[in-house]
Amino acid sequence: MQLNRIYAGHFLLYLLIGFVILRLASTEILIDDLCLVLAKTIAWLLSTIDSGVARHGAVVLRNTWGYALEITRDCSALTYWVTLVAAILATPITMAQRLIAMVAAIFFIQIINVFRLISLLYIKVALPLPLFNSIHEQAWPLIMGFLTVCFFVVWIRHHEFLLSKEQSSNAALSAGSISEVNHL
Amino acid sequence: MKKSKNLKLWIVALLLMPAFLLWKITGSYLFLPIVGAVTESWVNMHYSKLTPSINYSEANRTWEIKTSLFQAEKPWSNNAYSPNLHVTGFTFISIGHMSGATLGLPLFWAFIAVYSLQKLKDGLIGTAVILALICTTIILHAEINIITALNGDSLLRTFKDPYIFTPHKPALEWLWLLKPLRDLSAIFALLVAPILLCYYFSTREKLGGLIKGGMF
Repeated sequence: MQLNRIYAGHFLLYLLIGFVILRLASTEILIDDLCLVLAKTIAWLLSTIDSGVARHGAVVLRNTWGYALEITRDCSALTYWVTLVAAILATPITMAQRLIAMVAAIFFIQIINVFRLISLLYIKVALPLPLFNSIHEQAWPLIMGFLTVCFFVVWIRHHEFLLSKEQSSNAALSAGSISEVNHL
Repeated sequence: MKKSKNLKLWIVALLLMPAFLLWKITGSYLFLPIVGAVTESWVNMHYSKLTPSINYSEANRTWEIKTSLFQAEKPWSNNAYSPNLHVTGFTFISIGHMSGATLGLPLFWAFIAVYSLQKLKDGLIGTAVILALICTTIILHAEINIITALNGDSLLRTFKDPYIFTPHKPALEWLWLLKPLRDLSAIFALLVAPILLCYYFSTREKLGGLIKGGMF
């Protein structure tokens, strides 16, 4: 599978449609729900190791720390997912494979996102504010971007591997049938 | 072949930290002032009546457009009536953390250091292309914020000519086009362009014939 087979025009179109959908009011309600799910997940995960963590709506807080972490729309990391979805949709494969890849992509992105949010919660306690801001606004977006690229590269290589395996088995089968014909 | 490709990806991951540090050092002294200057000249061209200038606010930790929006064109008072509402000074329109839009640069540098054969030349060309995309993103972002401010419903309705500047007011419907374009441009500058450029540079020699190898 090569990048020249991924149609750049389709990718651009899907990306534009994706961003328009992200801006729709009805989508923003869904994003708010996702933020709530993220907050619940973080609070649940942290409550297993830390009994002082509480949650109010999309806000995760711990009283002794003196601050709270609000999961806003920007924290949903959906931009990375939309980019991945556009790239997956532009790749010439079957629709079932696309669907599997898209579901895998949202889980991948959100697992990293939960890890990012939890890390930010603790980094804010441990490090001074300028360093926290730098990690929050610069380091983590860079890491998220890199991991998004990694997901796509690994997925496309895996797909290429499966494709070549299938082709070689098909070639072996056809060679076998030819030899059978010769025997007959 | 596959192992060496995965190894390259690991090397890119290791190079992210030095690339990030290089970006931290050069960003605020080189790239952000360039982006700021380009955006300022563009905004000046479109909204010269607002006399905009773009500066970094240390207090708010954001880039801001300093404008004469809502500022009285001349002192407004007469013997008959002295208005309660009189805005003096400048209006600041925030354009946020511009540095976030430039994060495609360290990503590109890390990839180009591993995948390109002509690292310096390709690095410079790629950086220029990404910088152009960053400027586009920030210009679109500034346009969106200015249009929103100009269409603000309170002060502009209260003040009448000739007491405030009345610049050309673009329709709010433009935001429907500009916002997705800004998002698209941002994701291109941040993620898509660094990877596409790197892929192009790594396979350029082979593009004439059958493409094999490269990043994927």
